[in-house]
Amino acid sequence: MKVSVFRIDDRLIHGQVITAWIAYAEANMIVVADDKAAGDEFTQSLLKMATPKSIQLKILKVEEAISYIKSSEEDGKVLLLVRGTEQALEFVKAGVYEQPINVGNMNMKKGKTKVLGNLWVFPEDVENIQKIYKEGASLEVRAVPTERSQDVLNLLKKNKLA
Amino acid sequence: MIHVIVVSHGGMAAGMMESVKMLIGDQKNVECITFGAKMGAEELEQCFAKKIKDISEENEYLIFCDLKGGTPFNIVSRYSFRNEHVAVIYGMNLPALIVALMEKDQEGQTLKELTESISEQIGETLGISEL
Repeated sequence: MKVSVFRIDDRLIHGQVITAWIAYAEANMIVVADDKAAGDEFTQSLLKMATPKSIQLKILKVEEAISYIKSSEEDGKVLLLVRGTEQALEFVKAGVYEQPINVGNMNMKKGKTKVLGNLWVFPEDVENIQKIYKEGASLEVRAVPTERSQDVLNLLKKNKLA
Repeated sequence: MIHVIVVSHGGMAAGMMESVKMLIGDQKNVECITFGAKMGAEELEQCFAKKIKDISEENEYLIFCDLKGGTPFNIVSRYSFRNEHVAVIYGMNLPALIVALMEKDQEGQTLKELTESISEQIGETLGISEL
């Protein structure tokens, strides 16, 4: 099984993912790697309902998702979703990722600095992003597939955050 | 009382309200929320929190969303999860909304009966013309 799109999106499965990214990824499976979702009944029901019937859905803790993708011998393509940079870094460290890692939504929250409308970062995010690049991976911001891709580290440098 | 809220990505909900007015006139206890391109999910959550209050048997809510699994749907589903006094309809269209608005104020109407009635009628509202 191959990760065809690896996306950071704090909304996990939502409109952009359902309408555009599943098709772009040619995915037959979505893996949501999120400790919080894996332990929350409401979020699980919601994600199940949001996922089209033709697509398999796995909601796993980050650690479980890494070993699941590594060890799976099934054919097919996976759309891998994580909530933030911390989780993405874990996948990168484990060598499970697809280049470039897509950043869809890291939305506004108190204490974050704005980079783009859909990219707001905590200081920890900047650190995680730098670590991801050090591991040899890279990140692009692109909310929907047809949008222009922008390199995240370049954007951080332009905004004097890195 | 059954309150109706219509919500969409972009201006669809507001546009539907305009269409409703053209077809059946001004309506009471119906509001719309536009999830704007520059809005975060938290801002949208606050919009709902302002409009959905004191949920009870006497104060029920029917929410129309554009897309199953979209952010507006995901947020309002928290209200309907294990709460029989809030119902969510996704894939909204104008005929279904009109049914809801025409039937919601009938004597003794309950949210359960209203959603059953909409569900029965919804199938005929979308199709490919055979003409």
